[in-house]
Amino acid sequence: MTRQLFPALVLWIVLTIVGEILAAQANFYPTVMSDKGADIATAFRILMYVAVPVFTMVIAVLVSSTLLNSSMSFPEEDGPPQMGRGAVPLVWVGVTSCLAVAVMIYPGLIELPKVFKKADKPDVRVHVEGIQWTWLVSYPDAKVDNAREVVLPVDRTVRFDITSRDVLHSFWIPAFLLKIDAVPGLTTTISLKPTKTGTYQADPLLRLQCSQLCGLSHSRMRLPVRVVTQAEYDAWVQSQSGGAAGGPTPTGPSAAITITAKNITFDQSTLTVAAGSAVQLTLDNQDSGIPHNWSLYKSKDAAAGGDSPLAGTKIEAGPVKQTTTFAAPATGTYYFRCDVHPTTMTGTFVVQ
Amino acid sequence: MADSAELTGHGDGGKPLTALVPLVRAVACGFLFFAVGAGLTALLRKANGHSAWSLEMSLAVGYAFGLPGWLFGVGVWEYWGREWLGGRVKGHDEGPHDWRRFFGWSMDHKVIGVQYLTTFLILFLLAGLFAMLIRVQLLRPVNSTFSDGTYNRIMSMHGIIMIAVAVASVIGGFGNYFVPIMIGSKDVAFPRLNALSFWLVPPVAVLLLAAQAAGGWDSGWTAYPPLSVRNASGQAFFSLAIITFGLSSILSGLNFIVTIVHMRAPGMTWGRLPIFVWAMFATSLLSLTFTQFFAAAMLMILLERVAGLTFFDASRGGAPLLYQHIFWFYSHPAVYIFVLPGLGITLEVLTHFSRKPLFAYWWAVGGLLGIIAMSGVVWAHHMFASGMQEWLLAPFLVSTEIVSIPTGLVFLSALGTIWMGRIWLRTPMLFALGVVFNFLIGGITGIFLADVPTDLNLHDSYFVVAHFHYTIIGGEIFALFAGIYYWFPKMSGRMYNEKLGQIHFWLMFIGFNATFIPMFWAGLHGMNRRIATYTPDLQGLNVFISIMAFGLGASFIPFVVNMVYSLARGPKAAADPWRARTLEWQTSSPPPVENFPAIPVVGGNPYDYGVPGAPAYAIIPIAGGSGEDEPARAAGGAA
Repeated sequence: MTRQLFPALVLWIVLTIVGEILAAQANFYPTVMSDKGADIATAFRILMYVAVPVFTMVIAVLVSSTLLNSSMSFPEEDGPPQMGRGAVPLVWVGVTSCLAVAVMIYPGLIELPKVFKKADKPDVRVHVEGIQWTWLVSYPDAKVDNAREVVLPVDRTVRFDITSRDVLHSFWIPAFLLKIDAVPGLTTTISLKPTKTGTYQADPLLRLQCSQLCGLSHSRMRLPVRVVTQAEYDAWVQSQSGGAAGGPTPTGPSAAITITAKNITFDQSTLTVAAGSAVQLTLDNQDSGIPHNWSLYKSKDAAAGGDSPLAGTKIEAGPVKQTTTFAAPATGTYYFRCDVHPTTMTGTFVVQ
Repeated sequence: MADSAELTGHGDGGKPLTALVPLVRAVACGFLFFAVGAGLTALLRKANGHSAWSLEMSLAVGYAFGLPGWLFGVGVWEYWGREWLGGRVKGHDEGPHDWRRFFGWSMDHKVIGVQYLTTFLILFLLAGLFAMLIRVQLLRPVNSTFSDGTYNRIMSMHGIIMIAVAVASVIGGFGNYFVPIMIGSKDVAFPRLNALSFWLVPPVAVLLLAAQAAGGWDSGWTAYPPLSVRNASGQAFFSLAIITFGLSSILSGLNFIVTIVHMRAPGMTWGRLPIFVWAMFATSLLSLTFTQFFAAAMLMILLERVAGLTFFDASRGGAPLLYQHIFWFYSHPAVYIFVLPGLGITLEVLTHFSRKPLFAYWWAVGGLLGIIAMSGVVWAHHMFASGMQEWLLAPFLVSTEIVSIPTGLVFLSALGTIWMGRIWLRTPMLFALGVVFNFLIGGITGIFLADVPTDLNLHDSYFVVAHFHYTIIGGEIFALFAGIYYWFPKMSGRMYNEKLGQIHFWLMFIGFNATFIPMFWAGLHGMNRRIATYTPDLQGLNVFISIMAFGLGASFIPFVVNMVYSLARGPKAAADPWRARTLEWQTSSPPPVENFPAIPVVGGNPYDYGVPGAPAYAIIPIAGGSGEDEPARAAGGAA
């Protein structure tokens, strides 16, 4: 017995020490930007500390058995007739039960209510409605709606009230480590406090990602998230509610374009305007009950990368006609799309 | 001594294509009945002022007629149904006896086992090909190899075909072939039901392929509504396929339970049952009782699509979460249906190839039964982020953590068996040891998902993808290959090539681990599941995963070469090349039609290696002798 027991024990202890050091050092969650997220990241690390000796024990048995007692040819004798009817199974059941109960209690049952605690009086309320295939984000108290990015003030309690208009979606901001499904007919919530500032461009984990398969453009259903100081947040709220996106009235010769959305396609895939003109773009949404918009981006990659649109209309269900006026950007080729249907409704916008 | 020549020599030596005649007849019968059903639907529709043909409704009603038509045509009439009307049915020995018996209705459990095994190995490789396509798409963060829609369909097909393989490959293949032999019986309790279970499978494959012509479906294999009620018509084909497949699973579960309870050889007490048979017994209890919920969920989807019933539409008083409860009520026990037979094979191989008794035999049995007992009360751990009532979270966290205890008992048995064993490192043993390693990782990572706080971030991310591939491939598929190499000589009468087997194992083990370990990392870094595009920061990781996955795919080449070559030209195998004690090794390779020359009489334990004075496991009395006094053919003695 000691022939294998001693090396196995040594191996177990060595592997456990190495494993626990790795578990302590490993950067499991490089981005943790919420208060509850920090608790979750800690819980993960603690579970890892518990998992290491279990894992290394099995490895020690496997390795010591195969290294000490194996061969490629038929063994000349049988092994010892150990039936396992004595104390070993009892001790095993005892230890595994204690581990299971311990892990159940902490981090399990103790952290659970903390993570699900709902903020009844949050500093910021954000209403999020998932639709195939974008998020409609509005701030009821701040009177902001149709936001194309989620902007939050750092160190303030935020509560997201989440629902869906059509199929199941799931609200996930990886940097915050919290997720809950968006269910039609229900309102689910996530309450948290962002603890660091950041932008999606700097850290892709700071995005609102749909994480429940919702059809065609599920993988593209994301919005950039930005955590800013209170002052920057207030300024952003001001800019959003103070009129339609687009800034000051553009000067220059007028260029009127009408584009129609019907059967989830645009009727034109290329729009051309002269440089320096004041573009007056009308989106004629003829799809009854289906929301569309028209958004202009620097390029396809910029749109996918979460940049804000250069110009555009709000997301609204048809039948509706929307008009937006903006100054034509510098000469070049740009990209437009419907933010709700980013796979099938896209086109090129040429300024020459 | 019966040998394989007896089985290959008969038959009228007719042209090879005659093997397909029963199948062609069955297909024609199926389509004829389908037309009757669709025709009836057309009449009723027209009478109510609708157009005659509606794809989904005509399909559903037509299929309800067509499936029995196919079954009658393929053998249910000739071998079973004629009797109901007072006619004479064909007997067991009245079909072809040569290679053509594999292509039609056979009631020999060994033939059915081979039919299942070959069918599902082919499906496994097909779904594996889809996985390769998935990994091609994911080489770039925004890739246009496949459109988003096509990718969703490929991913959904990969999922459901692999689920089918997971359900039926080990149970249908090895359960069918070896449970009767290992308990010393001539066949299963219900041979005709057994054939029926197998012939329910081809319509499933046909439906899933035909679904692609109807637009496929993009809701994964989980098919959550409301998406699955609104998407393309392929979803209706999917629902019908699942209901059919579920029926096959339920019937085979029933068959195994009755077989194991009633057809054990004299002296085969429950305490002398091989652990693989215990695992099959436990699994069959789950298949028999839970599969109905899978079919119910699918039926509700179909009815909501086709007949306007409301189950899941919130705007009309339904509840999307209802589906998830019904679906996971089956689909969690289903994962134990996947893995338990594989763990049974693993423990078998570990004991025979360590030349040691199975350690803590009754504790292992208790572990298997404990797993199935708990499996029915943990389902909502798939729904922690679903928005269900918060008071459900704690109980399901507790019950899910508890499952680790009986699972640990299976590990106790495995580790105690190899501890100080004399390990014979042949290919089956390599795969069995691989199972212990892989399933360990799968099981441990499950703890992070069972814990609600950590699950909230990991749910629906690549962490989960890695976890279930570790448990299913690492646990079940590695065990499937352990069983293939272990039982290849018994089933085919030839020995596989050991070198190719070792190459297959190492390529597969390294490729598998290198593919799926990084996926845990991807999940932690914000990569969610079922996506055709991802954020650019994850490209390096995904390229590495894809390359390793291609390696994993390539590892099956030596396997296929080995199988084809060894079946044709491999050296003849002895009755007991592994010198193992269980009953299947006490008869010829391959076994005669009735499995043994005479029913064995069991007098010892199957795993008594190294036990001084242990009696032989069983004696096979030769016809004409009294059994007890006869000195000949004492089988399975100690070394």
